Amino acid sequence: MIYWIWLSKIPQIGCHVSRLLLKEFHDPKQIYNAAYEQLLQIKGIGPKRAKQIYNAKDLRQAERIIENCHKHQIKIMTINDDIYPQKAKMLDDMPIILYYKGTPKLSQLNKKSTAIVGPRRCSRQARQTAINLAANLSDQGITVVSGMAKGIDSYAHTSCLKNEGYTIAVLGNGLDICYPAEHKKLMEWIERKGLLISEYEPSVGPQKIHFPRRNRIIAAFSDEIIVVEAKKGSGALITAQYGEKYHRKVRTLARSNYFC
Amino acid sequence: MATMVKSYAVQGIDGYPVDIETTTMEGMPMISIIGLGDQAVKEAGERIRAAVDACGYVFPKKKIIINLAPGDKKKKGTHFDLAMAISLLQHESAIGARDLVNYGMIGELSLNGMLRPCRGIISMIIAAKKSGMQNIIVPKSNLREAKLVHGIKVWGFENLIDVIRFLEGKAVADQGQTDTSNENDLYEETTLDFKDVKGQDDLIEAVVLAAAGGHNMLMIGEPGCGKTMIAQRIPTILPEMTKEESLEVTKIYSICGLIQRGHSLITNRPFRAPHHNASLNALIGGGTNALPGEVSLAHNGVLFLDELAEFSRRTLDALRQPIEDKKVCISRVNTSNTFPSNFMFITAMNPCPCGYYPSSKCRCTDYEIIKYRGKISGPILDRIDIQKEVHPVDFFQLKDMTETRSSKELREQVVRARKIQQERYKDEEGINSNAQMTTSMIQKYCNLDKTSLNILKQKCEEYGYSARVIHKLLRLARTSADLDGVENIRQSDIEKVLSYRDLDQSNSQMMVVS
Repeated sequence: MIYWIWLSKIPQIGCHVSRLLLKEFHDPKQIYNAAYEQLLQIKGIGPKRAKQIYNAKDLRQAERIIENCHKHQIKIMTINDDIYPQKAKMLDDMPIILYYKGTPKLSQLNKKSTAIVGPRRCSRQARQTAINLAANLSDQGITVVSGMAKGIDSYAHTSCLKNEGYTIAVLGNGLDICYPAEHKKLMEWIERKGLLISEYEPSVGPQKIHFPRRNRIIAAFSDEIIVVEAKKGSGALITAQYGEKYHRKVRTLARSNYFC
Repeated sequence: MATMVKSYAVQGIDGYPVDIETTTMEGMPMISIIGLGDQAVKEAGERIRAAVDACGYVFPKKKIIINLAPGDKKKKGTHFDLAMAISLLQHESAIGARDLVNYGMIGELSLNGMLRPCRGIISMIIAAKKSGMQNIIVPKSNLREAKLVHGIKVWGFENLIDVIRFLEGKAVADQGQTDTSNENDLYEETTLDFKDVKGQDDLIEAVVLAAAGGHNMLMIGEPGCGKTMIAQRIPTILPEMTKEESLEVTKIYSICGLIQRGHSLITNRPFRAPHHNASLNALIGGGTNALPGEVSLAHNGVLFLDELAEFSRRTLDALRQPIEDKKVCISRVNTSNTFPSNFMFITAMNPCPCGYYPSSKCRCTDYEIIKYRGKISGPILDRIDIQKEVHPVDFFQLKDMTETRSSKELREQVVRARKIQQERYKDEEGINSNAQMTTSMIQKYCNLDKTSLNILKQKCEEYGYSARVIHKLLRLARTSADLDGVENIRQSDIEKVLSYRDLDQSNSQMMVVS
């Protein structure tokens, strides 16, 4: 596991390149032990990147992360694991490892799932829509995916949990941090009954750039994306754009609210 | 031998006698006032010197010592001036006052010998009466206020000369004829009336209930929907104050110097609405020489806190004791004062940070709403029996609305209900309204029939009401029955009071994990 983390943390080596490397070597340990020439042979890896990988032989950071994960009961799934949903595995810009907390139900993870996304500040009408929708989906046994942000996200999660459904929250920060802080109880509940996921290791705080990236995971983890309400340039629309890119079904409920 | 004149001082809301002793001795001409007086007392020397001079007497060129006994109590204020001046002149035999021991004196001197009004007259005169004094001399401007105390002769004067001439028996006393005809003029005719409140019948019903049973009340509503308007009118439906209650209120106002000159008894129930930035001491009372705060100024009346959620938590939590005990105790290093604070607690707040929940204008998240409401601590909410939502009214529909009930009608209803309660609790010590019923009394007086019990049970399970809330509901139902003069609580009463938990019901609809 330590080599997986090591691979994911090499600077300037993103999801794409690490996926390329994995295709060739199968195991990150072999990448770690690979010679410079070996790395150069891979298509898509030039001298600069090969050097970057070859010179990054420090495992201390990875060790620290593992230790941290133990401390906070955070587990790690790799792209080779069964619990990494099939629909996300196929996309080549998915991270090679994901940190998770909670109960990964295999049956639910590979079943149909729907993302409910929307703004933090929403109308009462949108709120009610999200609540009803989430309740409906969970009654049908469909997993509800969202981002545990304020507003629509929290309503979707809460409503799903209240209907005893299965929900996945994709976070833009380390799983030991609760952001926003008022969702502490909600987070605990999701941990008990659903799944918390993040591509960021513990103790990484919520940063502005994390959230659009988090949104791509939301899109990747769901078969269908429902935008309840969204403003121009909002996170919900970013999710929708990723959804299009990944060939997901993107739906809006109230067309009038779509670009309001 | 020193010459002694009686005067009085105030501590808390009660007065106590102060003996003013004056003596002179050979030495450097100076005046020394002892007995733990504050700066105002110390400066009295200069005022006396000027006033005595202005009245044509010769100020003695000797060392003068004035002692305010008891010497171990801190004294403040300027009302000792008159007694000091008289005792000094008498001591020097400049005047020949007869029977000085039978006169108590209160009044501040001006530099040209006039008498100025002072604070706390009522408390001091009551203390004088208690100590067996028969005559009290006060400034003329305080005469009306002073006359409120019966059983003691009060004399009002405009200047020092008149006082001296009266004491010497040279002038006929002006006792300030009790002009009862004028007393009615002082009754402030209020222009507020519930007639003006339209389209809020539900809420007015709740207000009447609160007034009848002494229940505290919280109004929740959008900005501009009429919360403040209604609160201002609550004193108009409370029963009129009894003479004792009036005197108590006047006493407190007198100490704070809030009685306007020439006014006598305060007959209207007070309505106090401190701004939410009020400090803890302003609300509860305090300062080095502890003065009554808003809770005491609202004694026997209404304390209205608008924008409850904006008050600092510390300030609000300090209200617990006054609401519960009906009195507030302010302890300072040297003294501890107790002021009464038996008020009706009416408050208002917005339903959410932006103020517009549940209308479509509101964009607050449920967590924010819960957080906003959570600013009011549980113990305070516990003391509020009625939580009522105020709905905005449509101005254009208001025009053709029929007349609503006037304050006078509502007051009659309240008075009737209060009478029933007085009758019911005549044997119970310290309890005079339904809101104060103890648990055992609830079992005794609040019997429900089977259907009512079922309705109550069903609702309580739905919203998860605790036993305490149920007791609250029963007390309210009792008042509701009393308002109609009915012996037993009816089903309609239960249904009515169940609609008085709007905040709980609204909270239960929040999509939050808690």
